[in-house]
Amino acid sequence: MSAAASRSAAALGIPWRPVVALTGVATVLLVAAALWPASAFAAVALKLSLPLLAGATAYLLDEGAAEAAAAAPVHLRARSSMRLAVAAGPLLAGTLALLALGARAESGVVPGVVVPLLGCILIACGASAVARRSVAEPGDAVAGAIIAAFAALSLVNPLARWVDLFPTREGQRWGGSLALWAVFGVVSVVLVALATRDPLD
Amino acid sequence: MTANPAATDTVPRASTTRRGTPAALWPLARLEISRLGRHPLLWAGTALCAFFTAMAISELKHGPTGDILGAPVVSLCVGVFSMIAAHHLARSFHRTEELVASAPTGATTRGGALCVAAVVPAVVASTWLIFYYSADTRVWTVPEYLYGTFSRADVAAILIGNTAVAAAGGTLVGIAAGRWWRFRGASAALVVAMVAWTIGIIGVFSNAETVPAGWERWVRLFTPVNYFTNAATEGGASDSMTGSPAWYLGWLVTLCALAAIAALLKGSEGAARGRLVRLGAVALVVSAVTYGLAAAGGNSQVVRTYPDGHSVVLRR
Repeated sequence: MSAAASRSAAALGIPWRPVVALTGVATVLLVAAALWPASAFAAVALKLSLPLLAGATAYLLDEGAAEAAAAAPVHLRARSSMRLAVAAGPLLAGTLALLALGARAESGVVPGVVVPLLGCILIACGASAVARRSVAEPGDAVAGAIIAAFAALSLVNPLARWVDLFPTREGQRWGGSLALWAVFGVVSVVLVALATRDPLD
Repeated sequence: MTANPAATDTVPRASTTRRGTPAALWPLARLEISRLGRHPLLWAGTALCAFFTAMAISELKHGPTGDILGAPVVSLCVGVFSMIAAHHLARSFHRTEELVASAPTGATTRGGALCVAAVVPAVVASTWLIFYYSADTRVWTVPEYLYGTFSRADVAAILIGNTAVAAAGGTLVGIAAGRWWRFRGASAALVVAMVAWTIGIIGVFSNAETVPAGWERWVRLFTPVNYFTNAATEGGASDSMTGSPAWYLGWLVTLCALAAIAALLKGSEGAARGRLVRLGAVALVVSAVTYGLAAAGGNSQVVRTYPDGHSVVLRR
């Protein structure tokens, strides 16, 4: 199977509807926040959009025809990599919308918000890859859990004494936040690598 | 077997007990309780709740804040995660619908058994509540002024609403959505809807600087979880928000009833459907009345209480 053919085969298997819907809702929220940056809605939209974009990527590893695909001469890691490359879509949409919000907000929403976004997306990929070992279509459960967990974290902020989990403005504790998200990102990438090993490797 | 002209053409009804409940309800309910009790998502939510609580206790030891344990930690963790778990349990019947339909148990009985499983997250949330009351004053001490104008009974109503009732309610909403929604991504849509509803209303309508004062009072409680004190003010003072905690708890209970009725309505037929529709109408009216009383009762203005004990009404 050629690379292009296997890429399109993998693309066909992705449940596009929830991926596009969640990415679209998050982008619309961020664009609306950029239009009215001083409103209370903007803060709510910013809190919600990151979990939504992470939730969108949780569906990428759903493989309804997993048993048939397992028999094809394409490794699980190759199939998963091709699917996870689609995560660039939600990441790009979120980044552009966040940059637009940063440019419009007077109080200075900084481009660094992209780092927590990338961390959220990597965690969603890692959780999906791990759950994919036991369920062919983990997207729905993982997306729900990821959105719920990140929304709870951004609302309650249990680590407030030590670190700002979702900093948005200048003057917040960015150093600790970037270090924490870097650790989450590395752990998630390792999890993806381990969880996408073929059973016979 | 009981005769029922409305339903006997296609599916024979299961036998009923002397109280009128189908005999299969309790065995099925035990099964659903076991399924929900073993669901990994429920345990993930419980673990997250334990982590949040440990962090909150650490925060309390560092400096007393009145609202940190009253914050909706249990509803956000146990409630939302059990909602997703219950949603998946309810959806698990979809792929075997024809097989399930041939069983001598009606859809209403199966839905009822699922609804009984809401007791599992309610028990988890109640355990947290027992922990709170046994640790309060032993592990941490909250200065009296941080409770603002609220009595101990009011605080209990807030805590019960944000824990046991919210956890059971989340589960019932998950079951209702699982029985009615069939599209892919329904689980995420459900969480997004609940989170957007809660954060949206609280974020927009709890801020008197952005909305008219009347709106703040009448709309801010229209969420499945809420807060009544806010200690994050200047000078360490505590704001007592508007509304009646007791009536708000009553309103939450009516929301649980509405969610259960919505879950049971799916697939119901004949006389049972008629009864459910009538019950739903009554629950809607009671819900509207209790919400009105929750918003109209209690503080009509936000009251700020300072560490020395004196209070001022914040006129907006």
